[in-house]
Amino acid sequence: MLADYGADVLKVERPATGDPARAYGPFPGDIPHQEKSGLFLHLNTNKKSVTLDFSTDTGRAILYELIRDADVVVENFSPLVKERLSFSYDDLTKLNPGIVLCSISNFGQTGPYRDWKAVDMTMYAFSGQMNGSGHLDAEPLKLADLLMQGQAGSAACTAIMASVMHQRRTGKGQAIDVAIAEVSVASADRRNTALIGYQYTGDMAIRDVMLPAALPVGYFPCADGYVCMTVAPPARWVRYVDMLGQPQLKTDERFKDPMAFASPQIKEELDLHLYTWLADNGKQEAMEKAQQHRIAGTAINSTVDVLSDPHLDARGFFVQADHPATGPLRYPGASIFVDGGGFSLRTTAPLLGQHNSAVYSGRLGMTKLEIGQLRSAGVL
Amino acid sequence: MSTTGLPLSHIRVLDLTLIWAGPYAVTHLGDLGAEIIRVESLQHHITNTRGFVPWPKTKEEVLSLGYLGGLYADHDPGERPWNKHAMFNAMGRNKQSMTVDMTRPEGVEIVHELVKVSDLLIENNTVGLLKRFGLDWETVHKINPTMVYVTMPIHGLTGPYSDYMGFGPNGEAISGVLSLRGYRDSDITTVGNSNHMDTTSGMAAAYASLMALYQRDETGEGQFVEVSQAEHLLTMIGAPIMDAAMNGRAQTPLGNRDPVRAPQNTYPCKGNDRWIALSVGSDSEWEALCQVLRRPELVEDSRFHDTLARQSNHDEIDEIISGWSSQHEAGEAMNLLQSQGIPASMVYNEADLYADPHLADRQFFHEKTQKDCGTHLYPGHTFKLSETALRFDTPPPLLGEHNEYVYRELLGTSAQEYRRLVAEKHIGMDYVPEVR
Repeated sequence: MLADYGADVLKVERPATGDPARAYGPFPGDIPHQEKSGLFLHLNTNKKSVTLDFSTDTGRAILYELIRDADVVVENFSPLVKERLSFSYDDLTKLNPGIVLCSISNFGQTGPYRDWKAVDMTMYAFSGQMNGSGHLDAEPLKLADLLMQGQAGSAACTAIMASVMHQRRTGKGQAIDVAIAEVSVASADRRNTALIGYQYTGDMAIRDVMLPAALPVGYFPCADGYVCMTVAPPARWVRYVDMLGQPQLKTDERFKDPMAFASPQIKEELDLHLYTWLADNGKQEAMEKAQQHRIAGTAINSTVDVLSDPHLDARGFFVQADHPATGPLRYPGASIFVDGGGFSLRTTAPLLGQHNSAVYSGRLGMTKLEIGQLRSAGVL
Repeated sequence: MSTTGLPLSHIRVLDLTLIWAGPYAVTHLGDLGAEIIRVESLQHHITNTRGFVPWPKTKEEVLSLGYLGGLYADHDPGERPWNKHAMFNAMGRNKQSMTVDMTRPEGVEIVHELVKVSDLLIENNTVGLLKRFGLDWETVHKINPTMVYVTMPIHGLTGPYSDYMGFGPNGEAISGVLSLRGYRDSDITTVGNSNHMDTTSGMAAAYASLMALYQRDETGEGQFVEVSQAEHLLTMIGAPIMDAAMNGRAQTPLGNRDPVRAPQNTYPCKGNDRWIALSVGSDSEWEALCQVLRRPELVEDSRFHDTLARQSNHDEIDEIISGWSSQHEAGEAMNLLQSQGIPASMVYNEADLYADPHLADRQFFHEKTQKDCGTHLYPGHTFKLSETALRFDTPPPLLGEHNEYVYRELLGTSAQEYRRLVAEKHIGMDYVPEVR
């Protein structure tokens, strides 16, 4: 997110293997290749790559040289590794008093769980969101993909931008502590509301649809798939019965009281109309008809559907770009638009160490001989 | 309020947001020191913001609104239920509330006066709604060229769906995220809804606001910022999207399992509805797990000798782990697993989080007293800064609580004029009787 919106980002990778994400799929044709990881390609657009082993003294000295000229350092080592690598805020401010050091970790830089292990699902479990996710008769259910990791990245960007603004005004640096655990516990969906709600009432989030109302909130089968409906009572009532082709309900006395929508009998009656209507419509069609009535009904797309969605297509969301290892591919593009700039896919993800010579000789003034020696020593 | 030293202490925000995503963005701007002025109205109760319904009268009515709808302090609507709902109050820290009726020309003029003395306007209303109140970007920019204007349309401002209605779950539907969440071999209707887009978009809008304010610090110019919510969510599922782009493959839900780690799942523990989530990503973690399970012979078992084998025989492993976990308390299981370096967490509930030693040690919760709700521990900040500790000064504002500050101090409204605006129901602390 920093690189995509204009920052000059230098990615420092370990020699030979690089960022572990290079080993994660998906790969074209499911054939693993260091330069073809879909995850890596997506997450590293617009960055430069150098290789460096900074667990060695020489490597650390080179890294420190690079940090002298940087505004921001972002790392997500475990706090123990960070200590071992002499990578503390105190270490770095000696080199560059204005440095912003953003540290992203599972449980933060302090506290009894500091060195605990985690993956996205266990973080979701820790936050308690998972307890309210899924179905009451089954186990708690995780989020799609690795969404908490992405959220922690976004939180880090927010903290970094604020710290850079502070740095520009005061000259002072900052150490940022992003704990994925706290990003998750402080998040919006069934978390901060559920937490203060528990304080207020003793109630806990339940694994169920969140609104029990007779107007549909949730996922429903249609002729060729599923649609998502979010219809809030009572404001959308008139539009909703028009959508269902049941205009006589508009004048039905029972619906004068907004509390009627909490009744199970009325829910059953209205559901019958809804399921009949959905059975006659495909997901795209159901969405278009619902939206014509200003009802929040939406097709549930697969990731393949998404690539040919007419709306995303009209907006030019996906950006085609060529990459030396994979050839041309489509990438997710801009989601934040600002005047006179914002997102552009300037370069695809870097090859491992692609910018070694530009950075080590261009920026740090090393000779070819020095670079060659460091490479044979395994430092680069 | 003391905001000196915080990164946004020079910024005043006009907050026209609603429900979850917008207020969540603004919460972060307030944490970072911006002065927040929520522009509200006595004539219009926004559903799902200060409660689902404007004015439940009794405890019974409150309870009939279901879990989320019923989260009023003490389940008691009191005289002003809109000040007592958890959904608004969860994100209310550091915010101030003023009221004005923007459906009358005088109300629009009042907000235009506020535009002159503010730095950033942020909103996530239905596309085009604010234009009706003279608060579109063109008008705002003319009144205050240094204003940053952040809008958060669900589907963006252009394209065939740009005026489509939607909330968090709709954005998850269109972006493909919903197709990746669910139980294995089960259809999506068995799953309660999720609103993760609100979390994602809220943070994206905070980031976007900061980018624009950073530029404004340098250039002195305001700008228009569009945060396209569903598209932003789409950038958060990069790997499955790239799989579709590279291989034409639509990934489907794996329940709690993982494509490259095994075993990974949630397992039942002692007690009612208590669970442990754990994940094994390497042979050494598998060995450690076998020790915790007191089943060392499984290390040599050919059915489980590497990740691929453990993937193929995941059901059998699940059975073995469930047999162990159901003999343990969830917290005990978590400690045992973590002590051997295995990623694990009990599935916390709200009570567990308030009792958790780690969050307590990091001072995550903040005790605050709000007039209508009493004293409670509020969830706190998303991240920590070393030099400029984030702010949690004031509890969630009552509707119209800061009218006096906003009108008298900021806008210089005379005492006489203020009384007239009270009489004409621009200013007040109660919704008008028609809002029922």
